[in-house]
Amino acid sequence: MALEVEINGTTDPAARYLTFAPSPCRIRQDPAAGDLAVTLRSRRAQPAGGDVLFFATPTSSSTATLDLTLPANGDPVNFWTAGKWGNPSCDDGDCLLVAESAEGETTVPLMVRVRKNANTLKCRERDRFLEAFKLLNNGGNGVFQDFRDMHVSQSGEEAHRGPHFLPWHRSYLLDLERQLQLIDPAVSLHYWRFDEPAPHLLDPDFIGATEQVPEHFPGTQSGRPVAFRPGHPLAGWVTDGTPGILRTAFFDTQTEAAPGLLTTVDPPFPLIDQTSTLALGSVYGQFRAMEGTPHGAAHVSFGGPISAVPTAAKDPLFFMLHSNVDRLWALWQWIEDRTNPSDPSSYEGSDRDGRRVGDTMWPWNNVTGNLTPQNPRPPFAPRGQFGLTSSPAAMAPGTTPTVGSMVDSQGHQATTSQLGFGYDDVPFENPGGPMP
Amino acid sequence: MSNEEYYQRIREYRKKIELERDAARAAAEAAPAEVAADPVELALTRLADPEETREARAASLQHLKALSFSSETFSDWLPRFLEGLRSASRSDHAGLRELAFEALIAYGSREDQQSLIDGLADPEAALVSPAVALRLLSQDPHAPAREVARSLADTATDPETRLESLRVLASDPESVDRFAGILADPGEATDARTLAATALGSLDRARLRSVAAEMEQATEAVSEAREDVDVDVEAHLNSLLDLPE
Repeated sequence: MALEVEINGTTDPAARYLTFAPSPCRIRQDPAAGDLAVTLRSRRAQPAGGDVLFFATPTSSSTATLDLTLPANGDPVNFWTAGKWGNPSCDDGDCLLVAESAEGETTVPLMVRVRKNANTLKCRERDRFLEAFKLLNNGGNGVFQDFRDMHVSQSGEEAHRGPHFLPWHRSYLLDLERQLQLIDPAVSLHYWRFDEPAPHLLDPDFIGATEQVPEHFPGTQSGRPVAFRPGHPLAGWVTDGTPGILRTAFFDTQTEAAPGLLTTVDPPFPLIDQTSTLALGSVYGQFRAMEGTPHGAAHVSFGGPISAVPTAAKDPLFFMLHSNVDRLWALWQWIEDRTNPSDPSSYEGSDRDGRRVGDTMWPWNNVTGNLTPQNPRPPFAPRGQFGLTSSPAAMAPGTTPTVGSMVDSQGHQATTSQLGFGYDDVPFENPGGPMP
Repeated sequence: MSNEEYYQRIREYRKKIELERDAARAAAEAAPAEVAADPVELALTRLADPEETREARAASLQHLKALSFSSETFSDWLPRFLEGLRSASRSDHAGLRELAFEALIAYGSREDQQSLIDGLADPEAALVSPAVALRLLSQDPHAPAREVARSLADTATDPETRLESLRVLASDPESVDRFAGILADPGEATDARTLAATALGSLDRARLRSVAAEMEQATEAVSEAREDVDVDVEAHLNSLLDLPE
């Protein structure tokens, strides 16, 4: 007898994607003569598949198995499930939720889908990521151009140079990632760990072999076309009607981390590493200094469009750079317990539209024009009529996200707040439930 | 792994990060990083000063680019930044000029786009090499560079200059026939043919499919051993043909 299992509020397979944060689930039997005892457990469908854990309530500690009693009248029983940290999926459906009873077992294929270090991806993960990006770009005729158009000179203040920098970019990445997932739901926006060498990322099989040029003279330093292997999905990349990805690097991309500016600027403007980033401070007002370094330093470790705000989003590496910026924020939030948008230690805004915790954000709010001299908005709003892309795997944040809706990405304050993404090295810890 | 072991692992991971963080904080407090009193003002002054060394001006340019990502007063100093870039773009050093033009074009300076175009028409007036000028101009499809690019695509003897002129024309609907011809010509260089394929796919995908079909037939008719096939072009074409209409 098959049991009906809902993941993320639906039996739709499109919702069967989990992070390390608890997702709401329900299970029921068809009306029967008596109650049915079931045990939930996780089983890998492939040797390197994902694993999940179970929660009786969203604040209880997780367990590897969960015993439930399904009422005879067919009423559903709630439970929560989440990916087991350290065991994310590699492929769609490589993790099975198994419901065992005296009558047999029902299995539901799932994916523990999180953003990973791009330098360590398996080839098939890399290739499906690239294929999705290729289709999103669609030779210059795809939806990607809208995302490029969101990050231009006129929108610079909407996204940068203030406390809204991190929430705006989290929303931006989430929107783009969900568009990628409309193409391939198994894809995540993997990150470039810029404070470590990434030889498998900056190569002809991934984001392009990037010529090294000196930071200092002599040598030309503007961007040059990166090299891809023949037939690479991104070899036909087009933005603003122009083919190719222009990028040069001021470091050896095979052996060195992104440096920032070291040899020419006095004092140097180095890219600070993860530990130093986390050490910037324990409150948001201190932590957000990371917009300068490592964020800005990562951008200017290159020549080419990625090194300037108006043109950076032409380069697909930009999105992986920002995925790492966002990961650092998520990691800091976990370590410092900063997930409450009402707490200034978690987010402290400023008095300008798009920067207060309750404000909606351009372009998703479709607000344009110079409303007041103190609160100008760009004269355009790419995709503003659509709002932020929805996902069957998460209820939040809706089509017009607020700044505050980006703060509790794992749903610590309310499980309904979780945004449906996570990082391979950022665990979930219950917000105060008992820990074994 | 038991539940207890799982949570112990998380606790140990947390502890490791916290220890490293605390050590970094202590080190930063013990030896604070040197910060210039007003790094923006210092860099703006140096960038704009033609008496400064090219190294100092280039360093200031890079520093200002880095600060542009986070400086909350950026909109206030942007005009001076652009003035400094314009000054640097007229310096005696080619590398500094190239850096400056790259930034000016990124910020959408029409005046400096025209300077590059003027340099393409009159080499005596050129401030950067033709290939660099074309590559920078290609980043804006609205730059009025198509006429000069068409001329150079026909006449340039330097392969890099010709390739970059084709890049400028990639958004030009009047260049569809040109790209179709380059793609179908096995005598053209691989990089020109692959760029032509990409441009054609962006401008007129149906035409790309038509050219690809003709190339397939021509290959089958001429060479069973496929010795004349440029496999790199073929691989690129196959990737583009996967794209939807």
